[in-house]
Amino acid sequence: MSTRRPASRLATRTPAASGSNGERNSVVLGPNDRLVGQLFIEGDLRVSGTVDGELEATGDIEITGRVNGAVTAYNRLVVGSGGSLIGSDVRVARLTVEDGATLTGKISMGSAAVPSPKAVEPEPAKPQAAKPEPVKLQAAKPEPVKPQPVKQQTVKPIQQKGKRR
Amino acid sequence: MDVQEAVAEGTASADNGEIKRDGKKQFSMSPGDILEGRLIYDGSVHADGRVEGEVRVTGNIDVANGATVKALLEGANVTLKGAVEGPVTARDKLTLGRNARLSGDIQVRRLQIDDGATLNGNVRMGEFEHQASGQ
Repeated sequence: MSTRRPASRLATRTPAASGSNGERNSVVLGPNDRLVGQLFIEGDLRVSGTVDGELEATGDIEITGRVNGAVTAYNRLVVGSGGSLIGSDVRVARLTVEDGATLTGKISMGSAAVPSPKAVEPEPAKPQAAKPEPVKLQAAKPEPVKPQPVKQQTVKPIQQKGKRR
Repeated sequence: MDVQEAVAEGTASADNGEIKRDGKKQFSMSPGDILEGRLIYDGSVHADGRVEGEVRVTGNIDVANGATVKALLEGANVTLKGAVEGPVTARDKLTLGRNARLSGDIQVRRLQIDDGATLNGNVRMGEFEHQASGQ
């Protein structure tokens, strides 16, 4: 296994997390280490031990030990010549498999297969611009003026009861 | 441009492209060649140009850089440098060069993928009972 860091690693656009000294975070599981469960690393991960579970790293993952489980590397996955990856689901941007390695599983590659780091964080819900409801202009209908029934006044004829003389 | 269509099983009439190396037959295509159909070949194949269908050989398959293959490939050692769409079986070793683009399920005994290659599909590794030649 080559331990030399490829130059491209330093030039990746993947914004792996940086430590306090400015270097990328890197986690190593040694030959005698064992992990059962899930592991998410902001940075690089090197596994020379045994993992039963899911691995996810925003940088590179290098496997020279044995891994059983899903693996997601936002940048590059390297399975070394002595490494074994039995992964139900392997999602990587780049993949290198050295001769002698064991690899089994569903492989998805490319930028579409791996979520971009930005997409990891829940995106704030976009406020939907309130659509102004179209105001329907209703022509004010002039209410028909109902002609009030005119009471017919009966004009009583003045009766002259008597002539005054 | 040579167009070789649907070669009958077991009788690869590769008069144009057949050459012998170390006493073994090799069916060799050029970038402008087109192979459509099913090729069962007792020897090795160098695929270039465009290949569609099925290629099963007893020897090795080598897909050149720039070739476009939409086919089932089965050989002892399979080396891909171009674009391949379809299932690939390598009874010994499958090698994906840095320019290789493979979309399909693969079954191999050994696997090597160079940085830069693209693979989308299911990978199975192990020994084989099934032999080539389509028998």
